Amino acid sequence: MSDDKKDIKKLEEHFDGIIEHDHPLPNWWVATFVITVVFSIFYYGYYELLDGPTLDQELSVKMAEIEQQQKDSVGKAFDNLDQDVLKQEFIDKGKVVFAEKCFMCHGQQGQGLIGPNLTDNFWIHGNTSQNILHVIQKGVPEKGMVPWEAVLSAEEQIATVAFIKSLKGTNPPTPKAAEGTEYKD
Amino acid sequence: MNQNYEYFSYDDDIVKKFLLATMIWAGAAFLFGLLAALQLAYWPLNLNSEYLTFGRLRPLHTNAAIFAFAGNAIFAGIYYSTQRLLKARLFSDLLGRIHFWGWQLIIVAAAITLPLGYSQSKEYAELEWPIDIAITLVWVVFAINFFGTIKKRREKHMYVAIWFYIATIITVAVLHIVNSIELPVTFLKSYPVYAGIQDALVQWWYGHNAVAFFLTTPFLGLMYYFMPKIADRPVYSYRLSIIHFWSLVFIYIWAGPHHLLYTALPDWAQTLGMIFSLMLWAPSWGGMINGLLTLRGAWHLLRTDPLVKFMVAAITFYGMATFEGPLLSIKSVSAVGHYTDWIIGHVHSGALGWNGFLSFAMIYYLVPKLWSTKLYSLKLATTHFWLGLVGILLYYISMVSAGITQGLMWHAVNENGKLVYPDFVETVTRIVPLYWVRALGGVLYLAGFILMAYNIWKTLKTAPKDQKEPTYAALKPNFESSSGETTHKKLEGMGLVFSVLSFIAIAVGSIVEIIPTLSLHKYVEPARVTDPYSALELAGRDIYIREGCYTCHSQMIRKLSAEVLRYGPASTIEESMWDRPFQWGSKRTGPDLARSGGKYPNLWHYRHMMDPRSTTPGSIMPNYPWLYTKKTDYLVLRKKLSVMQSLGVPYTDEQLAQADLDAQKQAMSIVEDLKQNGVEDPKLEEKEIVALIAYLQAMGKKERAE
Ligand code: HEC
Ligand code: HEC
Repeated sequence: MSDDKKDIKKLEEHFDGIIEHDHPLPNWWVATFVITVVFSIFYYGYYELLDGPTLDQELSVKMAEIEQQQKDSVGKAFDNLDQDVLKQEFIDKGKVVFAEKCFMCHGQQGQGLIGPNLTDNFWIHGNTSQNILHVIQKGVPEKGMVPWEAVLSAEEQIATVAFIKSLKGTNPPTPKAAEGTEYKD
Repeated sequence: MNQNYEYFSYDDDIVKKFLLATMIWAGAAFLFGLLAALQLAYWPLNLNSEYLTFGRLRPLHTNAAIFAFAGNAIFAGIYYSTQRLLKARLFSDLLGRIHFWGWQLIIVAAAITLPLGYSQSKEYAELEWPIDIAITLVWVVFAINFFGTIKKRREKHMYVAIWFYIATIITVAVLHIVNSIELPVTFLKSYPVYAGIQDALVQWWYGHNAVAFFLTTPFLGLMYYFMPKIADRPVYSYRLSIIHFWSLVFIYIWAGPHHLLYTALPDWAQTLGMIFSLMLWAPSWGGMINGLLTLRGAWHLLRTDPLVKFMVAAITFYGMATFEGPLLSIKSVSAVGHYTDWIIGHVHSGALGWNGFLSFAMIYYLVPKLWSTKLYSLKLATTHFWLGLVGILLYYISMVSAGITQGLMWHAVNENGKLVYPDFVETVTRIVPLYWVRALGGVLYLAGFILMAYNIWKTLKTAPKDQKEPTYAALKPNFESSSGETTHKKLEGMGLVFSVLSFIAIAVGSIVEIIPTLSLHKYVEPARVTDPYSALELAGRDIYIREGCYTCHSQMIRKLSAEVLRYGPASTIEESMWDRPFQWGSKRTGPDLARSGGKYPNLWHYRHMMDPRSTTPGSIMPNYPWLYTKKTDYLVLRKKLSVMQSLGVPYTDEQLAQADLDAQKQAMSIVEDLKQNGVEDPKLEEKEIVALIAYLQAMGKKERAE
């Protein structure tokens, strides 16, 4: 050891030579800190100790508003259902909606798959436009038919009814066996 | 030479080992990340493979990035700087090696078990209980080695970097142990002792503070050492380091509930999470200021020195991320941002920018020093920097745009009180192009890293063959505190006291938030009874956990009107009160599933899980063909129910005794229904898909009013 002592580095500096200055805290930084702390105290006090609304209360206010909007908007959209479903423009539009949202359960051509055949004379929930519209809107959740009221606009709902009505008697290949009651209108 | 001098050398071999491990695992973490990113852009890249499917790959990626890449980088940096800052060789060379090899074994165990589906599904705490125990042991070894080194130091005061290391080691131990309390069912399966809101709170106390005390405090310590070293400039402000250190460790620990805003978690805990996140802004920026202003008077280095570029960019990303964090914690911002890819962007500006770039700077600095040579090419390092920077920016901008786009679409309600985008998948296909941009960002970042690997490889080749550990000499200081010192200076001379105070700082917030929710019954309304899962549903739930469905699906409808319109009434505390582990999730690449029970017929699920595109065109969800061949393990169900029972779930002894029979009966009834609808698949009742369907149909159906 004693021979190569001159190779040995003496560590006189502190912190491996790192120097620390001691500048004062930046004012804007202190201000930011103080503001966030003061704000937080008031925020917690208002919402958790005083009478600020709870999240549940905020939600029910908002939901009441939305339900009112929904009620107001129902209006007259479905007044002319029986005439509307005969119009070609609705049938065409309905075809598009069906190809996006319904085919996976009712088959590409309405022949039935998970859901029933929509091209025959047999209906589980009735064959009038009103009946069909109702099933589409409310669904049959326990049987796996999805409610579409929240998803489809009123116009789209009418259009799918129109399209389904137009399927009658198309006799697509590989139909699903008949379900429900036969209607001979 | 003076008699009082002591002679010693540093254990740099252990630093070298950790550095090389950092390089290897970084490559793995980036590759997994890139593949996961591509899977979201182009679902066939799930490869129909059980082992590489997104739900299993994502935990592999996050664990590799956090614990393998960042972990090894931290250990390398801590071991290198601590010895020099304390003028002492590591307490024990042997413990160092146990630490090193133990940690690598844990990583290998993770890399094997996660693709096999052994997962607790708690984010960044997925590893199963034997590995949890191994982590605890290795961490204790690390702690002994570190505190032992403090004990035998030859520097009276501990530099600020050491403070951050102390806080890291103590807090990570506390977080890991508390969050991992679980009861084993089999060798690689366990259930946590916490349920529902408890589990959610403990998990996000852990998850958030894994970011705080694994990805922030140790890296701040590294910054305090390597920034002044690389730039050769003094640190800006000593008193700023004191204030921002203590406020940071005290405040950080409270912020976890900001991951749970608008959920079923009690309001007071949510509000605490939000306000402490806001108050965290200044303490975080204290670190950024001290880091950046260390460069004052030497900004020209930014133009010429790639190491300074990496450092400054890293600290800038730290500043961005710690501004964005408090912003995202504001309730109304969280309403839009939470569950979206905005959060993913936020995380990656921290992970790729702050952790990645700082580690790269450290590696470029250390390799030539440790191997007594020069860096092969500064030019390549500069190219690496620019590739990485553009990569991060592409990543960040695409994900924030995707997140905000999707968040706004989810919440858009028209004047008729209806959702504007009721079809979830429409909000997914809209952002797929941005997934491609993100993947491109990942490619650039990875390309930069490959340049680095080449550069380091070439550098190592020029290293001289025989290297001796140099010997140093230092005086043993007088540890008596002298009267001229400020209180904090005195404290810096007292390792034990300092550590105890750090522990108290993190204990306060933890106790205040966690203890009240441990008595869960206080929050449960007796009138709302929730039935526990049937045996088959539990089996299905464990499949859901194994497949990592939670990486894309939440099960927590927040108290927000648009969510109620889309998914049904907000989720309640009672609904998840038996859920071990909770499955609230943190991201909605797919829709919330909390109320999906009964929404579709069994046949729909049967076809959807086989190929989601058959029921939902445009879906990016992976196929799960193996669920149709693998058999449900009915025999283990009795054990599972009995562990649940011992955790307080109200199963009767009779239910335990015939768990497997009950499950088979329920499976038969589902199979009957599928058969009636035309499914022909012999022995279907034995297959996992049936158990999974049972679980999916039970979601949101377990609560009944009494
Ligand atoms: C998830 C599968 C599924 C989807 C998607 C679906 N349906 Fe259905 N649908 C069913 C099932 C199952 C039934 C049978 C309900 C019953 O048995 O009461 C049904 C029944 C119906 C009926 C009543 C048939 C009858 O015989 O009375 C109509 C009409 C209907 N669906 C229209 C639609 C339309 C329009 C769409 C798309 C907007 C659609 N369905 C989408 C599954 C589905
Ligand atoms: C890569 C992300 C991803 C993963 C992983 C994933 N999903 Fe999905 N999931 C989606 C997307 C996107 C949708 C929406 C489109 C669709 O219906 O396929 C979806 C839809 C669903 C739906 C229909 C929900 C509804 O209300 O319409 C169910 C059920 C479902 N997933 C179950 C699962 C299960 C079970 C797993 C795990 C085995 C899983 N998912 C894994 C992305 C994912």
